[in-house]
Amino acid sequence: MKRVLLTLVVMMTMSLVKSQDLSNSIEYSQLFIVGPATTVGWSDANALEMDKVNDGVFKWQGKLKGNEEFKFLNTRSWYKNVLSAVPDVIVDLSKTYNLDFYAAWDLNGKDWKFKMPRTGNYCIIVDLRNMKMSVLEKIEEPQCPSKLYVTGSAVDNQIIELPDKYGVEFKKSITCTPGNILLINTPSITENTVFYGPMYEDVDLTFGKGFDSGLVVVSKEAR
Amino acid sequence: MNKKFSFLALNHGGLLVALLTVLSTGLWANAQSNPVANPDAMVISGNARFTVLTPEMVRIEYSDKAQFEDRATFAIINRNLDIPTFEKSEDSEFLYINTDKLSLKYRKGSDPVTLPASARNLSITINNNGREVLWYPGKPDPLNLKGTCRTLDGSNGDNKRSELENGLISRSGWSVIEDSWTTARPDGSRSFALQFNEEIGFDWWAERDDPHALDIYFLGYGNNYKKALADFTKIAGKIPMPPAFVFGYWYSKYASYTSDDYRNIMSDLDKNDIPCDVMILDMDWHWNGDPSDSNGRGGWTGWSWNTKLIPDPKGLLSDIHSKNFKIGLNLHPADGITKSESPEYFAQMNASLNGKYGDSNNIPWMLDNTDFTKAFTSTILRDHESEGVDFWWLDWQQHLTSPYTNGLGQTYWCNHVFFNDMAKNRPDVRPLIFHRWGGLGSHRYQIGFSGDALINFPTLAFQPYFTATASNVGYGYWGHDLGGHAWTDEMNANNPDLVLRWLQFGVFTPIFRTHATKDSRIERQIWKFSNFPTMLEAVKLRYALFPYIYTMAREAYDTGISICRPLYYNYPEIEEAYAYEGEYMFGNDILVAPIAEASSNGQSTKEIWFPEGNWWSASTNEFIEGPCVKIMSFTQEQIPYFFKQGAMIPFNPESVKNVTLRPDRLIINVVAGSNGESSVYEDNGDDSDYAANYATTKLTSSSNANMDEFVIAPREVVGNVYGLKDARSYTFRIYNCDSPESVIVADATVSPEEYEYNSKTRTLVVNVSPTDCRSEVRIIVNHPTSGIADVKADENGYFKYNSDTDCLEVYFGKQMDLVDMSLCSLTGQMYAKYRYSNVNAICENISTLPSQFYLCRIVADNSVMSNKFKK
Repeated sequence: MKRVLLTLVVMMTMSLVKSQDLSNSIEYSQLFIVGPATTVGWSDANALEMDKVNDGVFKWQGKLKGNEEFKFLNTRSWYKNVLSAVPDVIVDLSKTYNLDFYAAWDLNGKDWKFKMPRTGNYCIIVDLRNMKMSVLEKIEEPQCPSKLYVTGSAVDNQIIELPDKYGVEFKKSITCTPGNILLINTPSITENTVFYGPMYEDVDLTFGKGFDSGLVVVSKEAR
Repeated sequence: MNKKFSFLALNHGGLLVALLTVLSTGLWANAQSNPVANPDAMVISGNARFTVLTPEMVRIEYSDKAQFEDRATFAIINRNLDIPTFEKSEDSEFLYINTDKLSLKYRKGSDPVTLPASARNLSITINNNGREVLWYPGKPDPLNLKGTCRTLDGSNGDNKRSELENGLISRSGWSVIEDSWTTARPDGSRSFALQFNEEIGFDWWAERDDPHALDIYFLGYGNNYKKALADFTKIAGKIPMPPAFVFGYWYSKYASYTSDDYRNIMSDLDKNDIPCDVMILDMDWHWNGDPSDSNGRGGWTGWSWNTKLIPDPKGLLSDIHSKNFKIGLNLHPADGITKSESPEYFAQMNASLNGKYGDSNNIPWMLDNTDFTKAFTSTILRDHESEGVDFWWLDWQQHLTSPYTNGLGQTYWCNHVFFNDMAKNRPDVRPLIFHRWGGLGSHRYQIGFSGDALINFPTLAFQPYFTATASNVGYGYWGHDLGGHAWTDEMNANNPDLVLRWLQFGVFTPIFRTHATKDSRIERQIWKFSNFPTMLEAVKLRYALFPYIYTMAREAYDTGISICRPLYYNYPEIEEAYAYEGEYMFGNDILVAPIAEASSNGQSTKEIWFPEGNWWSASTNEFIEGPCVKIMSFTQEQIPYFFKQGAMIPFNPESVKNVTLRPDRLIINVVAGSNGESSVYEDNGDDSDYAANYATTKLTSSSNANMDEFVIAPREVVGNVYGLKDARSYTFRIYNCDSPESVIVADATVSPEEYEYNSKTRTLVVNVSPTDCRSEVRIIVNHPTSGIADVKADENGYFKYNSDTDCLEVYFGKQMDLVDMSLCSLTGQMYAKYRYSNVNAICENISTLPSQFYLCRIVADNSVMSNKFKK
């Protein structure tokens, strides 16, 4: 029997001014998207910050203009570039693409970018640990409900309300047994209940270790 | 250094592909390594290759070009292991590989990595302690037990905790070695290939054939942490043994010392009876700082002696050597070789390189290149080594990856080059560097200096956890700035309590080196502290421990288990083994719980968890029965370290002032009352061929209710070990011992005058006169076996076995604080143990024990009684 502190933290997004880093090393803490396919064009200072979903893994959702270029920056400068490993890529949504990292002002003709075949709302996932990128159709983000409950086999399928602390986090100490945990938005399971799970399947969070993960809506069957 | 050519035939996609591979065995301590796995261990499916390395470990490669890596890499140097039993099968969609420990499922033709991460294309399931666990590429692991980080520069409290890289073991039951070139290490560097280089004479970095290929190792060892680490050193190379002198005390302090200062320090060390083995010359040995203060030869990097401070370097180094010190010099090489600082070296290197690099004033640091490296080592390193420098303290602090080679880590590459250069060019000694962690594989380049930690108790408190946790990546030789490096509160700078506790912790770390930054307000000459006598006791304890430490260093080489070990290695299923992270095992047999808080009125209290088994508190003379949690008090003289019952722990006598000396007497510490096995390891101390030249003396203890027996086996010598003592005397310190009925040494009963028993500490000391090391030494301590011996019980006390109730009834006639009762057969086999506190009588039901004769032994507040009865 382990006591697990289950915490859902709604993160406030803040614009931070990051100092320019001229080291040669890739950083897994941040990634930016830039280019005329986005709203910021070729403005490194205004490059759009992607959401970090795991160490070195980033997600960005938004509108990309078709047949316009985009690439990635590791900092908001042209020094640390994350580029396509091959030139002239028109992105196919079913494929995964290799990336290269260059810490250099002069890219020696390797400043290779991506293009979408058509304008649309997309979800871009970049994994800097494996230097891969894929583009999906935009995923509907779950809206944070006003009430949140825990259920699952780890709590013997009871439904336990997580009190809302200060309007920014839901927190409660719960005694769990080995099993799964899911979050739901209703005090009992109905037709309208929405199930939330972590982005990653089957992550072990026993032994009191915390795990930060974005939430996704999962199907009732997945629970 | 041998170069080996290997012909390997692979059946790939219906084509027989022949590879002529240049294999290197140039990595000195791992001469048998072969990066090419046995083809029978490999399963190739399209662009994926799986290599089954052990039942728990699989290498997973995927290359769009089907270009798989058969060379060594920065992390991995050997893949040619015995092939484990495994089964391969496939259907129209999936390939399956099953071993005894894991099941792999791969969607044929797919890239194993999906975005977002999922088990869609590749998954592995293992059984982790009864639970089925699923793994897939990219799966997060919040339960990883962590490894280490590049440096403790700026360490303040536990602020470095978040920088610890993932280690090789996890409570999730799995971990992954990410050896793809694409996967940056925390310092931003990459794992290149290693390939033998004729020009330089050892392995050199090389681009990966397919830099986008996936190259990972799945380790599914559950909580068998020791096996995971042992198997890691099979593929990543052994943890080399440092030379013996490394384990002595190091005098080190950043200051503008003159030659006279160094001579005075050595004199003071001697006058104060402080044993010491290493003298560090920090960066002021060379010109540096403001050029106007140093004849125009300033800067941060430097290579030439500051002759204002040290006018006769050779003479000084010779004097230091004559006092039996080894010498290490600090280097900050990042700025290269500057004409103004080192005009002679600059000219020589420029001539050697034909002016290839840099300009007329500077040759930049280009260790990426073999010609630079060759010119640098032959011009500068060899020159200083000929003057008497024994080893180099690398202190890389600048850009972490090379400006010339994308992704080449400066820390790792300095480690690799300096270590292998020493191995190749100084074969008379054991290779050694003093540098930092540069990512996985750095365990092959020992030893580490952890850097500039702040001077305060919370920072000290982090270091036991940090030091032991580094063993999770085989980086087992961190050396800290004992006392702390720089202060934020001047009150702490020379706090005698803080420096003492740091020093006492340092006794039980791999490297025992005091140090601090260049600040005249920080004192690290321990003889100037008000509590110097207590500090000196700590230094002496370190020297006493040397035979044990050196034996454990060999064990680290042989097994991959470093000296400082988290408790969960031995007790993976016990929650406390993870929770009490400030405690660790120092080798096999000593539990340490360093004090890292200020004392109050000279006393420190500490809550200590004791794992299962019994322990002897060496500084407080207490017998502790685990598992338990105790809150204990320690004076400033007392260090919380605990001998495991049954172990035989060899110590040097106090006469030893250099760890490299071989005394003619050893002290054997043993906690009586259990069986155990230990050893004493010896070798030539500073040779590179210790794998084949060493000596081992096995120590065993056994115990039953009648007696304790301790045996020192004849020494076994492998190869040639020089200067071993032919004969040794021994002092046995036997703790947790009752007053003996008799003591037998070498089949002869020793008269009571020849041994010493302290009833207060329950310690028996037996001296054994010099004995040929080729002969066995056997000591038997007999305990009273009949009637009541040494009994001070009230005359109304009695002992009785009541056959009607099947109970043992004991009445003491007075209150007893602590009573231990054991039952064994007449042949000595233990059947039951009981403990009671605050009792004046016992009634113990023994109905579950078989019917036979028993010896019942009762220790009640240091009084002993034994009785025989038939059940």
